[in-house]
Amino acid sequence: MNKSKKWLVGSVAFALAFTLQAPFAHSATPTVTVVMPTQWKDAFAPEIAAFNKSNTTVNIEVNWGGAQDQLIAANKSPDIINTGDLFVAAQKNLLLDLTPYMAKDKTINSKDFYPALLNAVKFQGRQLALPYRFNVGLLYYNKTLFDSAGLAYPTAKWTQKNLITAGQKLTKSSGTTATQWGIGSTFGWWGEWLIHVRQSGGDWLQDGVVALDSPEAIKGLTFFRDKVSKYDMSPGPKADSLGGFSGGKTGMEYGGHTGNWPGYNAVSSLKWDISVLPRGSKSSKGAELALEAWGVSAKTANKQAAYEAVKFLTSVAFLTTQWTELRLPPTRISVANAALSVPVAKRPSPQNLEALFGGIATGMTLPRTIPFIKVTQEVVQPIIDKMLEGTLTPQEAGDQATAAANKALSILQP
Amino acid sequence: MSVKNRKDTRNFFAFAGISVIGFLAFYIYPIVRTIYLSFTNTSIMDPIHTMVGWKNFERAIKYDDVFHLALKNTFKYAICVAALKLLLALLAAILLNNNLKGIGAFRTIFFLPFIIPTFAVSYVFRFFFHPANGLVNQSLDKIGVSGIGWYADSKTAMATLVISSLWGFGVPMLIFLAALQQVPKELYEVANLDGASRWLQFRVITFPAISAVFLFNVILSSVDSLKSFDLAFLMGHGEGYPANSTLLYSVYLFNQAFKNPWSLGYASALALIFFAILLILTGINFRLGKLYVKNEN
Repeated sequence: MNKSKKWLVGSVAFALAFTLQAPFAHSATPTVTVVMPTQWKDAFAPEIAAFNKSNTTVNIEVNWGGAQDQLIAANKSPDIINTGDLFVAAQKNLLLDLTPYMAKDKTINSKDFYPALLNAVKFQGRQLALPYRFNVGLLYYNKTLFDSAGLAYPTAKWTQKNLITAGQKLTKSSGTTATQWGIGSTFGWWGEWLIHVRQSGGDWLQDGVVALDSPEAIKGLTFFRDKVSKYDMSPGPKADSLGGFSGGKTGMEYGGHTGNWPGYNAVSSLKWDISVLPRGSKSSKGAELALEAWGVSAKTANKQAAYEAVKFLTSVAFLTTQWTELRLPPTRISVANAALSVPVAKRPSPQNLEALFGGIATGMTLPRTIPFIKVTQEVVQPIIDKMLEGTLTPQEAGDQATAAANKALSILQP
Repeated sequence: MSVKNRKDTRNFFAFAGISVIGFLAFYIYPIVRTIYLSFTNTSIMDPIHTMVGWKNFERAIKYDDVFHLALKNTFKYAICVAALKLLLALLAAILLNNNLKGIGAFRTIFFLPFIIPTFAVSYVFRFFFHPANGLVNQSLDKIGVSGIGWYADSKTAMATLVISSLWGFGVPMLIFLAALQQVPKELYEVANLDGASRWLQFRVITFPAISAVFLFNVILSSVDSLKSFDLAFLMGHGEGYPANSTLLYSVYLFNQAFKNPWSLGYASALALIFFAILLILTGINFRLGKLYVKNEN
């Protein structure tokens, strides 16, 4: 073999050795993927990078701002899936049952999760995800507007009567144009009317059938309509909402969503807090309790590693970062207790965390059935829209919605 | 096979191969896949699916009231939009079919809205038609007329959507304009000498001359209106808001596939039903076209 051939063979052998060793060097730590919103990057990226550096069991790779649903549709599902109580039924075969992993894990401390939240992502006896954030129906109020009107802030003892009185006092107008609203309204979303129904003692289902025609449900629908048309304290579908609660010209928000908190806190002039949502009836069992959770794709090649990643994303340390940096309500009791231990005056908005975490005990989770969202949004919502337009009375809307929803469910229920 | 034939065959595959592969991959495969999915209960979020026979079609045709409403809305919308768009396009083309100075600028201005993205258009129209502080109601208010709910009222939302859809008549207008420019000028000169009115000239000379193009535009506009999606999706909050009044077939189909519970199988059945409807309507258009399309000879 002449000199040049020796060089060539040597070079090829070196290149092969270099190429082949590269994947093995990385294979020691399996990588799992997850999609997260870009808005979370500043808060979470350093934490995840530190975790990746400090452990040898899993490496978390975040797809910031990716589209999870599209990836799943394209058969390129991330290993960790963002799910929730409303999705587990439809995703029951997509998500890995975490029960056996949790059973043999001595460090997960699953009792630290609020039981209601953990149970909400359990489907047919299988723990399909671990909760990381939640929403409960609350009364949101603008402190500045309350102070200007000389009104006392809402308390847990408030009734719907107090709410109406305050709402009307907070509403201001110039001629026929409203310049300030007492209470905000959201249109075209099932969560809005359902919270009114539940606060009045009604519910979506009673004994397995839709019961929006019950006297309690009708009472809730009536209040939903009357906020706009009788008490004139809330914008109707055709009115100017003045930018909603974050616009600073709306005194209160009925129900609201904790997912809006980062947006509210981004408005520096908005001084706001929360309170327990007043009930319209003593028979009310409570408002909405919904949550988001991290699950593991059943198709992942690294099931144990993905479970470890989910465990990290729902750990005390990570949920603390999630709470302190993004104000997304944590699902672990210990993190909640740490938040509650901060003196009220030193807490950033919202300060009434007792109302937030107390709401978990009284809140009602939503039905974990596949057609729930479809029927509430496609079948019932249009009838509620007509009620708000004045075409239907609450009783007619309740009757029509019940008949239409029960018919749809009879076709869609497996 | 001779050397020349072999060379021809090789050249054929070399040149046509890429487009044949593209056609198979991006047209034939999706169609075959859609047909297959329509007979399953596939959900994007469920890796397990089973064959359900004709159940998806049966559900849509027999039981799904929202589907029936979406279909009705779509026909209403398509008839109004296609007819008004054709009328506007034809009028604009006739107006622009002259040799006035600066007519090119007008042609560009009329075509310009077509290149503006729909999401921008939807925001502009939402601003125009906002019931409380929109430009239209404020202007009406100034002349003492009380405004209406426009897109926020289920009684007027469809009309608002139709009005908002008319901005994009640039393509049929250009096609009409091209056809109008082919009509021999001498015919009009003779008609003028004979004292024929403008309307008579249009009826006897212009329309027969552009009738084939008219049929083409009828088919193009009606198919285009029937499968409208983006503006209805944006203006109706993706849900046909308010009260399903702006829920078009394509929006409903999209919601079935890409919203909870992500029923891709059912959405595929809806897509095939829609395909059949379009096919039938196009056939009807062709049959009707025979009544008014004049042969060039």
